[in-house]
Formats: sequence, structure tokens, C-alpha cells
Amino acid sequence: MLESKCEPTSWRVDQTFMMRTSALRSSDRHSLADLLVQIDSSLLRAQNGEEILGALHPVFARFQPSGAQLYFLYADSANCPVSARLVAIANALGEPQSFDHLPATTLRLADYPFSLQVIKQRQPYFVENIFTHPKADEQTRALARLFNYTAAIALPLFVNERWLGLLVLQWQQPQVFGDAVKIFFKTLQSNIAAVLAGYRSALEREEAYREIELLYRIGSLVNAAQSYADLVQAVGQHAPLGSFTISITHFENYDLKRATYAEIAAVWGAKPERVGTRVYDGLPVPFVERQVMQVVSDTSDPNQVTEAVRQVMRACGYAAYLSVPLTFGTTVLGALNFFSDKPREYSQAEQRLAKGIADLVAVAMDRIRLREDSLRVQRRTERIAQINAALLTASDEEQIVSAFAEYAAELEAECVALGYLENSADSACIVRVVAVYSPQAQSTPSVSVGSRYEFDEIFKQRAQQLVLIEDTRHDERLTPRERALSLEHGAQALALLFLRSSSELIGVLSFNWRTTRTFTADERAVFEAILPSLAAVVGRRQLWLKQAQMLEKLRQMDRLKDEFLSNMSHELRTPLNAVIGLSDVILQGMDGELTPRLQQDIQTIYDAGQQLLSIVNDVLDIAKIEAGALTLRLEQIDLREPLQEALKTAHVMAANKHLSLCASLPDYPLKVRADASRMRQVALNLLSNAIKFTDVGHIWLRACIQNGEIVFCVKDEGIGIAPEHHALIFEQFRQVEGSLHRRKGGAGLGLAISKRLIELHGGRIWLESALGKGATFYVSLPSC
Amino acid sequence: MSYILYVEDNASNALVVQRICEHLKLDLRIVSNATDAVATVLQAPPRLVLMDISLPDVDGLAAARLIRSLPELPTRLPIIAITASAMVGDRERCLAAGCDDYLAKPFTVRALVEMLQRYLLCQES
Repeated sequence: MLESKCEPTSWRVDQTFMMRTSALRSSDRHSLADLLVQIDSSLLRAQNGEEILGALHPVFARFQPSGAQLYFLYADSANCPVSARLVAIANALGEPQSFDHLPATTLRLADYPFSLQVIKQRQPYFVENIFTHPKADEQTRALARLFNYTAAIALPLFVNERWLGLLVLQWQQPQVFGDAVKIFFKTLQSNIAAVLAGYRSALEREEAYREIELLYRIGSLVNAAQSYADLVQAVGQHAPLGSFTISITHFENYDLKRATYAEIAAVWGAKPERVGTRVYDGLPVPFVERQVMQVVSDTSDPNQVTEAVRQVMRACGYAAYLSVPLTFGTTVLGALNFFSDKPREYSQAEQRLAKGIADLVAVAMDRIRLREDSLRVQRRTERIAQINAALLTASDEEQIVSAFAEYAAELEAECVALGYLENSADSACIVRVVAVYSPQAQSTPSVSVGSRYEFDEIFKQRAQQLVLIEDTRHDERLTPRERALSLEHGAQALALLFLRSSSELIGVLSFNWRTTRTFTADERAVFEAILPSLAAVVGRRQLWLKQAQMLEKLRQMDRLKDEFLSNMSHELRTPLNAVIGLSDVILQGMDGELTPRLQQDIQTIYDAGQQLLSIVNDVLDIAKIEAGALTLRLEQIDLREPLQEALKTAHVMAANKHLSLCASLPDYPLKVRADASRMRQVALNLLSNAIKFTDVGHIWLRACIQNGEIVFCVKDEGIGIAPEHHALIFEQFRQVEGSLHRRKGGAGLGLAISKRLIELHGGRIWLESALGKGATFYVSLPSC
Repeated sequence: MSYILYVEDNASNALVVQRICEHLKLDLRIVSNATDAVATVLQAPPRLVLMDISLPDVDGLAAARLIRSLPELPTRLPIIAITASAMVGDRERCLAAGCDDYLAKPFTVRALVEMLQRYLLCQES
């Protein structure tokens, strides 16, 4: 230990010292004591650093040092000296010079480990020859060469453990310091410390007063501030704390549990950064959690900052910073950050000032935040409303992406693409691009409609609906395949809106950027707000597409059915033509004379052919009615005309069975809107049924206008129909009583067809009958 | 007196018309496809063409259109479609293709005779 070299209680005169300094005699002890008294009287009058050094003039006369420096010392919160500021120097003649008017020369003691060690000893430290001194390091020796000294005495100055300063005396030549000299300087040390304590207290009072004044000035500016920019400007103008950049970060909706991110709200200084940029993304922000100031004197020091912070700071060129939380009540609103481009210590006074400023800024920030928030919310709401309105009227994919036209332009997106998830049998996840919007009209968008992309299974299963990728090259949420795909299309930033319909992924809307970008809280909020309506619109659209597809399939099936009916009709008629045609040829005697027996047989073939033809016609009619394919040729007609045509045919049939057929038609026209051929078909069907089921008696056809409706009826005196069967007989393939079925022939389709035809005309068909009492069929049609 | 051309690929159907024409003492030539029909018409124009629509090579409608477009024919040649296609619209399709009339199969002797008489009498007068 160094202490062992000096003996503070001894007053023994150093022999070597006496030999070298001829002025010293045996009375030196007294002389040194006198010297102390002489110095004390001057010291007591000293008002500043310059005067303190001036008071040491007798020391210069006696020991002839080549120079002296007086420093103020500053300690950190652990009372460890961290920096020193040069306040005054003296030359070899002891002439003092103040340094207070010069820019503050503050040294980081961490850069001078030997000096720091010396100071921490608290004892006067005597270096007789720095170049042979065992503790001195090479750096200190280099400095000694530079400042041209060999020997030095350092007096750390403190009172009651409080660090005040450091006095250094230097000699160009090596020295030998005797005990008396050491005791002398030990005494001088405490005397100077006492004087310096008074001086520094006075300075601090003055400083405190200035600080209050400064805070008052800043306070009035801050209170008038209208924006974050005004706030940071006020701080930068009046209390830059040697910073080259000052920023205010803003923690809107800050949630410690979710993510650590903040936005730059305002910047002052030499290195402006983009307002709105997100900072601290993923980085720990300890002062936010602890709500304490963060002081970093050197951002390259791994003991002070984490590797992640170090990288960010290096990228920005920040060598030191002071970051003060802006708290209002219990809410952390943000932080006030002072950045220096050189490593530096922040004194207690500076930290106190920064805290004071932060308190003022926080109050103003809360006021501005409320105002800006409401403005931002208003802008955001307007944007959301505009997009939603456009979405609401969008009827196809093109219009859906166009709903984002203005927003995409505002965000300077390269393009907006809508993709639908394709249904596939296997688990492959294929997205087909259905629409693309590009705000830059002249350039071709990087994605084109119709492209199909295959993704990994995870694409479908992502829990979040909104994924914002600020840098596709480094975002770990992207799979390697997705990253490769993004880069292939030159997309460096993405906003992916996953659209779900009842939790099933149906599509994705993607905003693409060619550059990396930072998303603001507002942008995120807009995306989140429009997601539900977008998903609903896309879901509705997809449902519509699906229905249209099904409809097309049904139409196709209808076409196939029509085609089938037409083919069947053709195939049945072709052989029937030979049957009916040739039997007719024979019956007409074209093939020669016929015996009565042959005549009867051929007639039977001919009749059977006709019967078969009428069944074919009926079956086709029913099929067409069932398929809804039957088209009526509606026109205004006189119903008497088709009735008369039917009667003409029925007369022949009735005559064959020796039945009398009476018709009673009015002498005025029966105007209806109907298909004449179908009316004839219905009448003939009713008449032929009447003839079929009547063996003896009369058949009547009547028509009239009744209660504004046109009514016609066919009455017979046949076997009749039991009331319980009245409804049944209008069904297909029904003839009352199975046993009668074969006897009377016919497929049982006639009444079913008649009923449908009449209903298609907007009319009704019904009957009145009892078993054995004949039957009357009525048809009513709306007149016109 | 010129002949009547019947374009029909179904032999039993052809027989019906053949029998009727024999009875009416009309000269009838039967071909079974559209190509032969056009070739026959070009060789010697018939008085009348009975045209089946469903034919093995091209359908009768196309054949009718083709015959209608031949510039060599001096007078208007009556074409009557005889077809088992008897659904709604079939008649209109035949007339649109250039046929003068339409007869649905199966037809009665009377219907064909009336049809022939109408067009042949028209020519004689």
C-alpha cells in the first residue's frame, strides 16, 4: 500500500529534500508551518478555483512546481467519482488562470484508471518519478511525456465523504518528497478541501437557482406547446445537455405483456429520424418497467447496455444517452431521450435537470396526447368508414380490392392482392390470386390475377387474423417457403389479412411493399377494424360464387334432361313411323286387296301404334312439365275454337262406340289468354275419357262465363268415380280401381297432364261424381 | 316428269314413303346421307325433296341450307322436313334452315299424301 511510504504522525524532515533545497534550514519545520498559515489566510479569501490556485503562490515559491491544475470531481449515485472537470490552472510562476469561461472540459475517469485509483485512495499521492513508478501504467506515462512532467503530487479533495475536487502539482524533474513535505501537503489537502466545499456549495446554490430559472422558461414554452415537435424543440433550445439528438418516444396503448414497442413522436437535433418509426421493438425497456431514468455513458460498454441495444445505438451513431421516463400519474406515456455522439458522463445536476424537464414535458404530453389522439382517432375512423362503405357496395373481387385504393396510395403500397383458398382434396394449401390493385398505374404489379401459390400447412393455421411483416428477410413468423416467395416478388414488407368464415380460412388480402417499413399503431388499428367487414364481404361473395356455380350445374342438368327427352322422343317415333305408316299403307289398300280378317288384324296394329304414340306424347309432356321445360304459347284466343277442334275428333270416337255427343257452346266469344293447342289437348282428353268410361248413354260438352270466369265441363253417364278417389285421379299413373286399369287402357297420364296444363294457365280443374252416377269434369280459366 | 328425292337412312321409314309413292305413281329416289343428297340434286334437280333431319354424315338442316345455297338450281326446289324430332322448336328450326314445310314422324298416309299434293299441284299450276 502507498500509505506505508508516508508517516502522517511524524514531523521528521526529509534529508534529501533539505540537501537539494538550499533555502531549507533546521527551521524548515517552522517555515512549513508558517507557509501553511500564510496560505490559509489567502485561502480563506478565495472565492473561486482561480483564487484557490492563487492562494497557493507560496507553495510555488517554495517547491517550484512546473504547474498546477484544479479539477472538480463528480460522483455517481454510489458515491464513486466518475468524472472530473478542469476549473483552473497555474503556470510555473504560480499565476492562476480560470477555465470556467471555456467550454466545460469534463474527463471520464474511467479513461484514466491510474488517476481514478489515486483519487480513490483519498490520501495525498506522491509520484517522485512517473517513469519509474511501479503502479503507473503506460497510458499515464504517455500523458506525462505529453504534458512534460516527471514528478507530481495529487491531492484528492473531499469533505465528509463527499467528493469535491482534485489538485495536481507537477514537476519536470524527478523529485524526492520527504516526510515533512508529505505532512505539509496532507494538511494543505484538508484545508483546500474545506475552502473548495464552500465554493462548490455556493456554485451549486447558483446552479440550482439557474436550474429553477431554466425549468421555469422551459415550463412556459412546454405549456404553450401544441405538438410533440414543439415540446422537443423547447427542450432542445434551452437544455440540450450537450445532445446532438433529442427525441420523445410515445408509448401508445403500451402493454408490457404483449410487446415492447414505442413510436418516435418527435425529434430535435442534428440527426432527425422519421417520426412514427417504431423503436425498441423487441428490446427490453427497463426504465419503462421500473420507471427510472436510464443513464448510459458509453453505449459500447457491455456492462451498461445489452448487445441488442448496443447494435441499435451503434446504427444510430449514439455513443451515450440519458433516457427519462415521462410519467403522468401512474401511466408511462413515453420517454424523453438525450443522445450524445460521444461517450460522456451525465452529472447529477444534469440528471436532476432532465428529470425536472421530463416532469414538465409529461404534463404537456398528456394534454397533447389527448388532442392528437382524438385527431388521429378521427382520421382513422374516417378511413375505416370510407373502406367499409366501399366494401359494402363491392360486388366482385375487383371492387373489393379497389375499396383499398386510397389507403394503399396513402401507405405507398406496391399493390394489394386478394387470394382465395382453393379447396383441395389433400392438405395442400393453395391460394389463387383473384384480384390485384396497384396504386402505381404505370408499373405492372408484382402479383398477377390467376397466379396460384402453394403454402405450408401453417398458412391455414395461423391464429392471428392480422400479420404485419416489416421486413420479410428477417421475420421469423414467415416459413422459408413464404420468405422465398416474398423475395421472389420483391416484397420486403407485407400486411397479411387472413379472412375467416366461421373460423375456416377462406382467403387472404395482402398489402405488398417493395421496401421494408414500420407499421404505426394507427395503421394496425385500421387493418384490424376493417378485417371483420372484409371477411364478411369476401365470405358473401364466395357463397354467391358457389351458388352461381351450382345454378350453372343445375342448368346444365336441365339441358341434359331436355336433350335426353328430345332423343327419347326421336328414338321412339322413328320405329313407330314404320308401324303406323306401313299398317296405314296396307289399310289404304296400297299393297292390294285385303281380306276382312287381315283388315281387322292390321287395324289392330294401327290402333296399337296410335295408342303407343299418344302414350309417348303423354310421357314426354309429363316429363317436360316436371322439368319445368314446358313452354306455353300464350295468346288471346276464343276458347270455342279449340273446343270445336276437340269435338271434331271426339265425334268420330263417340260414333265408333254408338254414343251421342252433344255440345252446347255460347254464341259469344270466350276470350282467354291460353295456348290453343293445349286447350284442345285438355278438352280432347276429357272427352276421350268420357267416351272411354261410358258404354251406353250421352256425353255433353258445355261452356259459359260464370262469375267472371270461363268454365267448360264434360259430363258423361259412365261408371262414375267414388268421392274418396276424386283427388287421386289427378295424380300420375292413376286409374281408379286397379282391376279396371287394363280394361280401359291408357297410361293414366291424361288427367295429370290436363291438371298441370290448366294450372299453368292459372285455372282450376275438378269433378263432380258418384259411383255409378256418371261424372262431370269442370275446367275454369280466368277470362280476359 | 322429274323425280322426288327422299333423304332417309332408316330403311323401314324409307319403305313407308316408297309404298305411298308407288301407289301415287311418283318416281322416288332414296339416298341415305346428305352428301349423296347434294350430289343427286346437282346431277339432276328433283321436283321435291323429302328430308330426314337425323342423318349419318351432316344433319338434314345443314343439307337443306346447302341445297338452298346452290346457284345452279333454276327454280325454287321444295324441301319438306320429315323428322322424328317433334319437340317444341323443332318445326321452327327446320323452317329457319330453308325447309318449306315440316312433317313429324309418325305420320299417317293421309298426312303425307296431302303434303305431296300441296307442293306438286303448286308446281303444275
